[in-house]
Amino acid sequence: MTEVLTRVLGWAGLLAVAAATAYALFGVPADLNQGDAQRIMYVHVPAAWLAYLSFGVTALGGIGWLWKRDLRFDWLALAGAEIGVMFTFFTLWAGAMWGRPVWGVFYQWEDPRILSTTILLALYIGYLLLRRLTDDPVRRANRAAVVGIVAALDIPITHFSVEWWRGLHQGPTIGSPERVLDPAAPGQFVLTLLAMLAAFTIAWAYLVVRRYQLAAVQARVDEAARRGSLAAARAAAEGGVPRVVTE
Amino acid sequence: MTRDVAVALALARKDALAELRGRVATGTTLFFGAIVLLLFGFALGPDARRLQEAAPGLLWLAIVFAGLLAVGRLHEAETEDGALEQLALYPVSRHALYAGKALAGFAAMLVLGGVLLPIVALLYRVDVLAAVLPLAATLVLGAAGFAAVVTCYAALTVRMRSRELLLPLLVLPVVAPLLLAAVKATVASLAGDPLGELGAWLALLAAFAALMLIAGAVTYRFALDD
Amino acid sequence: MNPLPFIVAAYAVIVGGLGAYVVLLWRRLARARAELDQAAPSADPPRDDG
Repeated sequence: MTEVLTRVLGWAGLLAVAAATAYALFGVPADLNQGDAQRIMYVHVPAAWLAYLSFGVTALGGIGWLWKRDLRFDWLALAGAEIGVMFTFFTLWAGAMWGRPVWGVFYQWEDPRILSTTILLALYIGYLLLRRLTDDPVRRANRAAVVGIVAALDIPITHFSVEWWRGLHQGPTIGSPERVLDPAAPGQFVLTLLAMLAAFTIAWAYLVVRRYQLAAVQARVDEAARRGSLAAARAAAEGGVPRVVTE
Repeated sequence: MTRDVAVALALARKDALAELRGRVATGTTLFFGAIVLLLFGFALGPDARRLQEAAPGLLWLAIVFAGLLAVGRLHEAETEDGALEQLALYPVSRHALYAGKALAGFAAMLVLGGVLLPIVALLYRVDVLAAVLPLAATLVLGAAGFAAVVTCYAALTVRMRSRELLLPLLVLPVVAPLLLAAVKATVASLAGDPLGELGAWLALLAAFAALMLIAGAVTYRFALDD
Repeated sequence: MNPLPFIVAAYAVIVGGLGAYVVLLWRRLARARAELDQAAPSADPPRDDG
């Protein structure tokens, strides 16, 4: 049953992303001020939204684990972090591709959002590395939960600090990314963006489900491997014929 | 509650005594910070004005790098002779343990800042005497936030083989806003706060410290792997 | 400046990246399930994960 629903979700995500992307690229007219470059915003904004959503899932998963001591929360947190890192990278990539033709530079130091997004990427790459370097599932879940919660708390502070930082620099503000979300913008632009947001969110949900399932299966594989090596060690200790354990 | 405070103070005092008796290498950390400051000078060239302008940023980078070593060492010293396991066995609240460790880290950071600031003043020809009070406030708030984060993360990584690599990797992005605010507050202090922004940056540092202290106190027992 | 190459690059990396990640996930999932069958062949019957 779960498998059928997941597949339906996957197909829905694929179709929605394909349709919305085609419309964003070829259907909607170009922006009057920024021309075609504005089309990049239709992937940039959903990527940023899903990055934040993913890291919210990671923080909630961490809290859930510390509270309920159920490893399923940890698997969810892992799914959020891995997928969040991917979408954070997408956010930066689309931002750079938009910044070059519009601002003239790939990486705009005066734009606070680019800086806080880069910090975000570093925070959660650290989270994933920490997970990789710990084998014991309970310890890993503990450590990951602490880092996931602290990182989530760090996000708003980072945001404020770079926002204030720019206050002095007064960088170029022509064509700021939120133009596309401006209520005064033509309805067609807003509608395209909303369609892209919805489509990418469906695809994101599919990814989270699949990544969670992968974590669940891997946890059982690790458990079986541990039991296997334990049995082998016991047999060896009792003087039985030691069996070769292959990893 | 009073007992928690007593435990925290005793723990911090024990760490301070250990430092003073030379069991933990405070001198090495200070020397490292000074060397970093000297090398920054080399990297930026002999232009005195350039160095003066960069001084606040370089000071805080040196404090962050040396502080990672200093505060990280506080937990590493406990792993020798299984002291950490014994510490975790004591029937005291984990909040008190965290407070004690964070207090020791805070003291170490204050010493570090107190030594590196005059070095910056001498090396880069920055007049710090005119702004001692705002600089001290910046240092105190920055040290508190930094110690709060590193104490929690050091407990997290202390039992891992690759802790020397992992601790900076985890801590540096988290303290990015602290670094930014501390540098801005230092710049404002040295310039006499012409734009009236010092208060805002100090408030940000205080908010960071408060948030991370609460987060650290709540999560420390999980970081310690009870 | 002609934005076309940048639009193509942005969409290609993001849509392509999503596709590559999905394929990678499937392969990792298939491999992990195969490993599980090998590690615990008869201990418990294969079931629907999730």
